[in-house]
Amino acid sequence: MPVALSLGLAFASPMLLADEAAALDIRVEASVSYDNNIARSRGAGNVLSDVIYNINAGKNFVFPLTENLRATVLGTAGYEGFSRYSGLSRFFLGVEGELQYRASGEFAAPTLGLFGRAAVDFYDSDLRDGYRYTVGGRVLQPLTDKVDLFGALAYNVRDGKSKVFDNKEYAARLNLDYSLSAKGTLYFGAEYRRGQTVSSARPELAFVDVAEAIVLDDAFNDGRGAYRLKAKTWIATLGYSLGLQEDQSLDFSVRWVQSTALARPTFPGAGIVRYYDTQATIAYLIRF
Amino acid sequence: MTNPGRLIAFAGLLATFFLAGCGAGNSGDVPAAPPGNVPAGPNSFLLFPNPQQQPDGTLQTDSVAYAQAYYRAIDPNNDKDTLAKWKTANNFDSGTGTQVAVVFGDVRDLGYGRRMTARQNVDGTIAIMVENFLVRTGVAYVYSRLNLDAAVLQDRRWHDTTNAIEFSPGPGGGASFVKFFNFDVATGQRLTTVDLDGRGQKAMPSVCVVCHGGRGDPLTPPDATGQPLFPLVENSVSRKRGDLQARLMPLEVGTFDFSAASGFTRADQEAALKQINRMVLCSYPIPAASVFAEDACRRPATFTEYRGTAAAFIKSTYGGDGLPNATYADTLVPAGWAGQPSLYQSVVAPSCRSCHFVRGIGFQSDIDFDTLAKFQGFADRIKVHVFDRGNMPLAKIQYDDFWRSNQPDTLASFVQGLGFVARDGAGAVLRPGRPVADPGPDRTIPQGPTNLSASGSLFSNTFTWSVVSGPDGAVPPVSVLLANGTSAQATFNASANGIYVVQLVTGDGTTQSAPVQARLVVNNLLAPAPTAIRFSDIKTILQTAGCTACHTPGGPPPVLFANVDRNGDGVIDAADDLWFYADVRGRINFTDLVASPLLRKPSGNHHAGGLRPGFDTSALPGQAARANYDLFLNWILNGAPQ
Repeated sequence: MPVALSLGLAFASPMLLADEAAALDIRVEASVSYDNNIARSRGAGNVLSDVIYNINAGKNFVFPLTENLRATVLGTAGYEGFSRYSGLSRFFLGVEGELQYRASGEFAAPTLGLFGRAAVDFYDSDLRDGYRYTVGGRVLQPLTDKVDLFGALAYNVRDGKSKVFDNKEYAARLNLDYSLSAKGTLYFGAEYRRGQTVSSARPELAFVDVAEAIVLDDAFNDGRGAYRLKAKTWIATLGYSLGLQEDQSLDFSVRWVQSTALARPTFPGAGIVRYYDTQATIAYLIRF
Repeated sequence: MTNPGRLIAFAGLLATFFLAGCGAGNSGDVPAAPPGNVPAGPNSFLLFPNPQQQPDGTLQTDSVAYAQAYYRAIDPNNDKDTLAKWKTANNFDSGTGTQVAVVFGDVRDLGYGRRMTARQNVDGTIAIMVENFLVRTGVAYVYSRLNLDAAVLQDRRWHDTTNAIEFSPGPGGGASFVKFFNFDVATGQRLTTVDLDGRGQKAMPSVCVVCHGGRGDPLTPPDATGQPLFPLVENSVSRKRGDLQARLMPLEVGTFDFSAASGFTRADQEAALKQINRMVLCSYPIPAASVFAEDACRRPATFTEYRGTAAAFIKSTYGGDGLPNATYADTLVPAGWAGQPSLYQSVVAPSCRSCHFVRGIGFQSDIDFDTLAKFQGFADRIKVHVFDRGNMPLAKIQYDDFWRSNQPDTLASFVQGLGFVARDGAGAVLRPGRPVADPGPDRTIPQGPTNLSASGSLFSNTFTWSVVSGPDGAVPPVSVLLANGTSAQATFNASANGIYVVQLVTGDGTTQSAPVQARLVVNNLLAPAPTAIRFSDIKTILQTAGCTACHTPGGPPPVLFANVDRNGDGVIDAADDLWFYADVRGRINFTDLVASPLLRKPSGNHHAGGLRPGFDTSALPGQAARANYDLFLNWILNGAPQ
């Protein structure tokens, strides 16, 4: 979805930090996705697809500090349900705080933000349960009256019950929103992550060779392991957001993921360990 | 492999994964636990049932000193102290002889993915090198298909050990015998220990020999150089120290896992596997002349030697004499098992045979389990080893598989049918790891303080002694005092002659053992007093009870009881007596006293010489019919002093 929407209210407008507290500032999103590799794996028998339903709500609080500076706090709660692999379904709660700065009301003035986020996940299975933390900075830069550019750097930490799901990674993201009409926005995003990720696969020497930690993955019933890998991951997103009426929109997006393990298997002739994933999502958003 | 074994192997793999991610502070990880329904506690795998426990508690056969003595015996000039030298000495990759290689998953025994290269030289010597691959992803030690994949792909990260076996003459030539080596994966240096089951290092060659049919006799006292010698098995054809009478093992192809990768499937390797089994067959002495080509390479067996039970097995798996079948198929039910083939196929073949069919000698081969009668004859020991001590099946993976299967139930019914307790009061199979009380054997003692030791008890740390009955009929008897009745070492002090029954119950803090009783026959005229018995008394009996009719040079037994020049210095003197004492002490199992061959053999258990005078254990302690047994027993209970 467009940056403005994906960030909730925080970066909703390029204008000077306005007092938007008049509204309830509650955003509700319902979506359905198709993911062709929910195990983040590779090879026949390892790659699994599923349909995922998500509903979440967020409440934003804005605290103006000065003419150019404000703090925001966003609380979210939601549930993500997997149709076939219910072990991956989760209930989550999160809170995000951000300090935003905009030097002036000039159109081209960027909005800068430093943010921190904490969330807790309760999966239907056990090993993934735990906490997620993110700190980072981001900037929203209007380029024209139709084009916004967004960039962010973040450091993500995940603390799961299994050490396989104890992950740390750096992420860099760029996003371009292009307003096609008053109600339609086309957006494109690119993201690079480097750090620990998890791939689930049936026992395979190549995965074992590159894994930092392994555990029997309790989200699946086919005996596969969850492997913690160090990897570099590219994510590309293409989407279109269509406003329906005031404070409601539909969002269509496709996301491509390519993740490559940094280490190579140790046997002669081994190739790289890499997986691909594609996700297609339709989301309905409403804001009160 | 397309059978339940694969499912078991896969379950094992899952166990590996189950544990692999465990880390401190990650509460959601699965704790380390025995896989499946496997009893916890026993940890005596790959050790001799009689490991030659020393007074300080160490196990001589599991010591580096034992390994060092072994290699001094079989390789005095260190001509094979590296893998490279060993391969050169055995003509690997020389283009001569026959050399074949196979890769398979050792599902049943050690769990490795194994790259085996076997060769037979033109002189008939055989050498087999095995590179073992083990993908260690956690604390669980199981077979996993990953191990096989690593072996196929030669993923050296997981190259765990390199074992080697050689069938060749010893120093100075003579008859070939089997020798065992383990080489460091990184440096190629010969090692004195190896970890074959993830449960720590164990000494060479014992860790191999224990299942390869060999003996675990004690080292000699130090010789003139100050170093002990490896034991000499007196009835060996080679007459070389280091010839443990061990055997090459047949490849039980049906228990292996094979890769689907081209060149590594079972079909791709069937011919090479058969070739290796033919080599193994060549290493077995043959007791009777044969007209079949596969037997032409076998040396005639002496009348005391191994009968080649495993040779019959190899033949059967390839269609019998002539080995007409190209494909291995294990459908063997030996003729001696015709009356109970299901017990053989469901228990003996998967869990006993691989070690037992390379044991036994011509004079006494009960232990090869080649007939139902032989197996029945060991029912008392099967009960102890399987259901009490948990040291058989001998290898951990095989042990785990045994306890996850219905084999314990089948075997328990068999043992119960022969009068031995293998089930609890509710009918459940007894499982090793539970407390088992051992108050010591029935025996005769004098009046006065006598130590009662519970040290033979298993998996126990609490002890409760009591005196159940005595000659005066009172309960408890008035003529006896029992001190330290809640410790492992109690003191029994009787002031009147007669038969007393003591009872011991042990516990592990959670459960209590069944009570076990022992009869103590108090005789104040007992002579010699137990504490006064010395080796000279034992030697006298050994040399007067008819033992030396056989246990003499040239006789069939592996141990001599006659006075001979044991240290080879040309004279028979006190030094030889010291060596004699070491030999006899080696016939005592200090980890399981009543299992000592020094007691069991003369009392008629699997002894070609049958029951010897004074060793009738059906008699009460103190009776003349078992006077010699009583004397031996009291000597042993007193630590078998010289």
